[in-house]
Amino acid sequence: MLHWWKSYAFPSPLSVFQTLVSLGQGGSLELAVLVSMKRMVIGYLLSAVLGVTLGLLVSQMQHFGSQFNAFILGLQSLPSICWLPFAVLWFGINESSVLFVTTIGSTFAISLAVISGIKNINPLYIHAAKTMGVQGIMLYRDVMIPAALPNLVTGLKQGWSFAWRALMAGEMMSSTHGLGVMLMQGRDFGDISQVVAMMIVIIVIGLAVDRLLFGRLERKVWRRWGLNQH
Amino acid sequence: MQMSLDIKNVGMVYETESGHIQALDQVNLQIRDGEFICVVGPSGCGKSTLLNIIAGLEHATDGEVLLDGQRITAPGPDRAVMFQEAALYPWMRAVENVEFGMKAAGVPPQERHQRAMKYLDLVRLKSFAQAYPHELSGGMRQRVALARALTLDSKVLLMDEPFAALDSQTRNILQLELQHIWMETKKTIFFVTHNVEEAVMLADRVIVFSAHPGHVKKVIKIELARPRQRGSIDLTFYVKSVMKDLAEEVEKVAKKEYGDNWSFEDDTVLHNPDSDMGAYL
Repeated sequence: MLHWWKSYAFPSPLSVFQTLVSLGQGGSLELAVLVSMKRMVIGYLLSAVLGVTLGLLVSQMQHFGSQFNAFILGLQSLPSICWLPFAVLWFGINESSVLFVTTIGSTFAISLAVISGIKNINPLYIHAAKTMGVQGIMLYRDVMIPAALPNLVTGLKQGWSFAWRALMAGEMMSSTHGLGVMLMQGRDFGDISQVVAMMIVIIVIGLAVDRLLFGRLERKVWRRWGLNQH
Repeated sequence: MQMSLDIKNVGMVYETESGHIQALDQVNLQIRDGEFICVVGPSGCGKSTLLNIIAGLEHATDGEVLLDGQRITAPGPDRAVMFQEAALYPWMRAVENVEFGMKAAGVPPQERHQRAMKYLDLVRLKSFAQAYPHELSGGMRQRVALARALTLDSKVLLMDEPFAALDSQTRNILQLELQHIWMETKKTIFFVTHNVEEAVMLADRVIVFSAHPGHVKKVIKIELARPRQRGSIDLTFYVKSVMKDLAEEVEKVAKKEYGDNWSFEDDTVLHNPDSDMGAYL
């Protein structure tokens, strides 16, 4: 070994790999992945429903729409971990506060995507629909939402990565299970291999969902809509 | 003859930051049932605004438009509209686009599919029924839009420069097709264009619009038998006479844009020493 290499400060790839294998064999890694993914799915689905609803509501508003838009933009600029103290006071240090942070981390990003998606609909689509007698719910369901869908999918994809970051931050600060917790454990034990191993796991899962699930969906929608930016 | 559209004293004023702009002033026009009307005029003369008012997409600030005696207040399927762009929905196949208007009208799926295929056949696109709009050419998209407009079975068809964005060969074919479709269906058609030849080819009456403010300058009856052929001597005669009326208006607009000393004759013919046919060689 070279002298300047301090393996306790920066682990060798081999030791990271060995740590991953032993964490996997012990079952603790799988459990952490499961726990984190469960929170992620629940928190993200909640934020998708809330975000789309909020976005549609705001884009419906005739008078205060732009003020609300600015308000949401302001909330979006707040790093989601800053919601944690608020959540802890409301729910205590438990599952709910982590879910809350995850949800709120992506809700506003999704809302903003919905608002801009609706705003940027080609007005011709709506004019044409109205001249055909399309109105009310059908106008929303069959014209406006599909027309906004490419932007909406991009927003949902972005929302996923926001939620993922928020969840990791939340788990590190106030949880007892999950990937974020295992990352913090690495620090508590002074085990740099575990720290880096967990960072890699978090990157791989985040990237895999982003590319394989959302990336594919996004490409499919954009291609179907005849938009070729992707 | 029964009246279809009655345009009464229609005026339109737009309020802008630099004051108000009178787009239309005292427009009066009676259109008979089954009549083909073409409106020509310089750009910005308000002819598209008038079409939008008839469609119900814009509201006149003065006067009113009656359809079969009923005042027009909102858009509706009794006045099908075709725009300069096809306005097809990119997420629907051609046939689904054609069906969409009927879906809103509550036509059952089976029947609307049959009718959609019938009209796609009429515009000769049956074999492209399953294609998405972005897989079709500009002319094909416009034909799908025409099929969609026809399925609404409206008495009135409003067309806002529908062929303007197409190449000239495609445009010629579509003009012939529209002529045939009109002869078959006898709809009332209100067709806005800046192409005089197109207007004369299609119309029963050509309405020449003047600009600033937009109003009806002249109404020219085209008394030619159908089907009309492009380039026939009668057609050319009418085109020249409409052109003459239109040229004054175009010059008026040009003077406004390029300055008062702009003149059609001096400024559209370029003077150059080579146009003397070699006399000074």
